[in-house]
Amino acid sequence: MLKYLLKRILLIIPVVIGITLFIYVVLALAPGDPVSLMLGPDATQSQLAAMRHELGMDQNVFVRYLIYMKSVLSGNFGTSWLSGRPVLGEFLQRIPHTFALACNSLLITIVFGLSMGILAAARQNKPIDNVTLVFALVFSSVPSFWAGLMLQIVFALKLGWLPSMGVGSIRHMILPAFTLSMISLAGQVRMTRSSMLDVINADYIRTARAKGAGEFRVIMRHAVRNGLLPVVTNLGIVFANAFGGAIITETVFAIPGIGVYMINAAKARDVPIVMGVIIFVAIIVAVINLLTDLIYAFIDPRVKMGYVS
Amino acid sequence: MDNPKRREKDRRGQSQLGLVIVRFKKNRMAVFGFFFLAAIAVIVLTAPLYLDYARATHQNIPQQFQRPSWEHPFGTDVFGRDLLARVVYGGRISLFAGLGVVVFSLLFGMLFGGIAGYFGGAADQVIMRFTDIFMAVPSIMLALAVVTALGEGTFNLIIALMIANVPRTSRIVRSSILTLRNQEFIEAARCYGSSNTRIIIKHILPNGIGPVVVTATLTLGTAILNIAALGFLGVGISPPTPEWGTLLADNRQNILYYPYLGIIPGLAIGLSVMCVNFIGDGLRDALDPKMKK
Repeated sequence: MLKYLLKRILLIIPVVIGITLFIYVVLALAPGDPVSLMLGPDATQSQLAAMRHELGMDQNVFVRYLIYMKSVLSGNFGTSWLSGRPVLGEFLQRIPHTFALACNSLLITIVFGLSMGILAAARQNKPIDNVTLVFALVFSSVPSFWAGLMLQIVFALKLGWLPSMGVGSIRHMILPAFTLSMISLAGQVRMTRSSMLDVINADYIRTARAKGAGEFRVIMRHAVRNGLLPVVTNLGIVFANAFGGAIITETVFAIPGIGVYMINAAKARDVPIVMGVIIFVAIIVAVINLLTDLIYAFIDPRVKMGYVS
Repeated sequence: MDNPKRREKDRRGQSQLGLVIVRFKKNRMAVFGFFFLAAIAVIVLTAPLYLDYARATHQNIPQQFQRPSWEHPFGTDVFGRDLLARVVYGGRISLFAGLGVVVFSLLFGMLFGGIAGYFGGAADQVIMRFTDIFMAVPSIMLALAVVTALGEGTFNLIIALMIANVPRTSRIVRSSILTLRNQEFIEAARCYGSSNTRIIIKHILPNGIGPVVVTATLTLGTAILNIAALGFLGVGISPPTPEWGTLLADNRQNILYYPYLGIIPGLAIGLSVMCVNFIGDGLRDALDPKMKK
């Protein structure tokens, strides 16, 4: 088990190196000169050259990547090319907003996704099953930024029930969290339904029914415990994707998280910020995947046995 | 009520494709999706025949915020541009780019996934490690970084979303082949001395194509959504070129007072993606009879 854990953690390293190298090279090969963008149109040739030298831009892209990664390993993520503020400090200041948003949207996805999926499976091919599936299909077709704008207009601006943007209280979180969960809700419902259906047709469920257990007891005590095992894996993916979806949701609701940080930096070609966010998100996603697998092993005795032997 | 089992039996002489079409036709939502999407495609593709492109880009400030009328069926936006023209011409870019993403993802996904799944071994290891790398960050984040680096333009947008999609497609192709590779009929074909090419084309492709087609359809849906999302964020397509996501971004401040500016572009995106999803759902059931209720 420990050996497996160690191996998984070590495997994160090449993945992070791979994705950061790719992004670094792509950003470096991009047309346009970030230095003249930084210094403005009035800069002289010698000023530009001096700045380029200061940033190490006069060197080969792979050498620059190595220098960058060396400083990252010593904990220095550099400073923004435009604002001059350290990337790490700004990131740490922003990540709680994104994390809270991702957690709340995961919570909504779990509550609605699981209950709707279980209900649809328990009433397979009945009207409620079909309604749930069509609902899930329609839900997954709506662009999340549009849904966010509409929620904002109806619930914040027209009805005035909730604040329209920004952060501060739990009430600020409701609309963004619902918007973000829309991306994954439909998939979660379908996934829950199909994995529950696999279980519901199993022999031991028929046995439970034959022994006279009520329908509610059969579903909640017998079917759910096994039927929800694969769902755990999907929830890990949902949580990881929430960090991507946050870019859109944070833009709509003006939340000062890492999504907005990333999009503004990407538009301005602010390489240290883009690289920093990519590194952090890649590590966060890898850790989430690892935790998901561990939780899965923990709750499924069959998988746990596989590790022990 | 007719018995579906018997109907299927009666069509025993039919080809596999024929059976798939018969099953697809039974799914009313999927058929509706197919015809509705075809109608959208025709409207959008034939746009130059009945609608002047200049109407989509020509600014006419005194005409701004005209509510839907005979002259402007969808009204006009903040710059007085005709919203109908912007939605129709925007659809050309959104749908075309979405289709481009699907075609390229499928092409490379089948190539990489096919090599990994069929030959296995070192090739499999290398390709799978590469998919790990490109799946390390959420796809919209990867596409965002790539498209801002490449610069604006439809082709760059397609490239960026393709890079984000190929790993997933490769994995699905690979797993689809892996389940087939060791089955008896493949082994039998090999015993008869069939070449790799023959096995791939005659045996693997027809049996493994189902999940890949379904994935391709669903990829089209997410690609349209992602293109719109990137457009909304202000990357990918530069103004004044109309694109469904940028239509919403342009009019964001005014939707509260002129709801049609928000509702119409949203419906254009939502309805197209919904049709694609209905078709994908129908294909999933039609291609895999075991999944059928």
